[in-house]
Amino acid sequence: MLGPIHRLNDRGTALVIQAAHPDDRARIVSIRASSETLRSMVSDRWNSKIGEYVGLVHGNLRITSETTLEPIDAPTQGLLAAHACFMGVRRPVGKSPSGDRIAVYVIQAPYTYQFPDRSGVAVRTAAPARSVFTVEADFPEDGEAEIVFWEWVLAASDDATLPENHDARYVRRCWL
Amino acid sequence: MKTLVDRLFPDGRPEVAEFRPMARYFGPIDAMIYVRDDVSYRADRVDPFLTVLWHPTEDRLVGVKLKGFRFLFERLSAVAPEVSTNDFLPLVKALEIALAAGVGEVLTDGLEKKLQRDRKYEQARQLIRDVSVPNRDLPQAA
Repeated sequence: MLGPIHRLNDRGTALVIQAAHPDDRARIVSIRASSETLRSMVSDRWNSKIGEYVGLVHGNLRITSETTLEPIDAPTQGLLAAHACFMGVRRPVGKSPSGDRIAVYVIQAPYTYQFPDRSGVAVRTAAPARSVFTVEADFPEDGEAEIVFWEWVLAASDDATLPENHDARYVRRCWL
Repeated sequence: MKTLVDRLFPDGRPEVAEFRPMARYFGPIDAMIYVRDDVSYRADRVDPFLTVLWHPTEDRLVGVKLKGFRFLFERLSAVAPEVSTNDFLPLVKALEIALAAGVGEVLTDGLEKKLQRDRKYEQARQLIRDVSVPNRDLPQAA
């Protein structure tokens, strides 16, 4: 499952994620996940969102084995698995008419994850149909970057590796 | 042994409730999200203000995301000032504002795309027709 980079996020720091910088794919930076976003998801017991974070954004996780039902290590590269990155979302964000500071990472993954209990063991299931996984990170001009949201989105009909209508939804492509 | 949730929240876990259909404002992305099922939905962008959320494998909506929500709410408050003081906001009112605000992007689209957009707005309307958000959860109070 792991690609050529073989870097994993640290299990001891669940909120700090490694990612390629939008402006320089070779530069790996640490990005903090929004505790506000995660706290809301945990409060609402939104297990699919927590599972996506654990399995696809962070990635260094244990899952319940489909065969033995025992916990096993099944790490992914998390956000380092992104194969494309865009900068800027074409919609208002807060008081700004456009989200030009938001980077969107795109990951193709065969699985998604549920986090049905608090034991720290996730459950792996097939990825949603015809979709790619995206992670939004805010890169302010001054201040630290922050991962603010993540979700599966429909894939483009002419390129299943990218989100549908990516030209309309994002301002520019950083790398692919 | 520390669990992942312990590590996510070293200062203490948030209060955990059972999942139930809910509308939640996410400040960091300025979006109001309503989800009915706890599944890895597929987001389908309709325009700058509306994304509909499909079940991962079935052809049915499980949620709605209203983006640029602060803008939508301010515009709604301008035309209907009572929404700022009422205890609850019917989410469908914000959807109506989104429908008008997002029309610019489809002005040059063909008829088929406009019909698709109208259809998805109607599906969203049906999904959230009984959903209201407590005033305290709106961006003015965030």
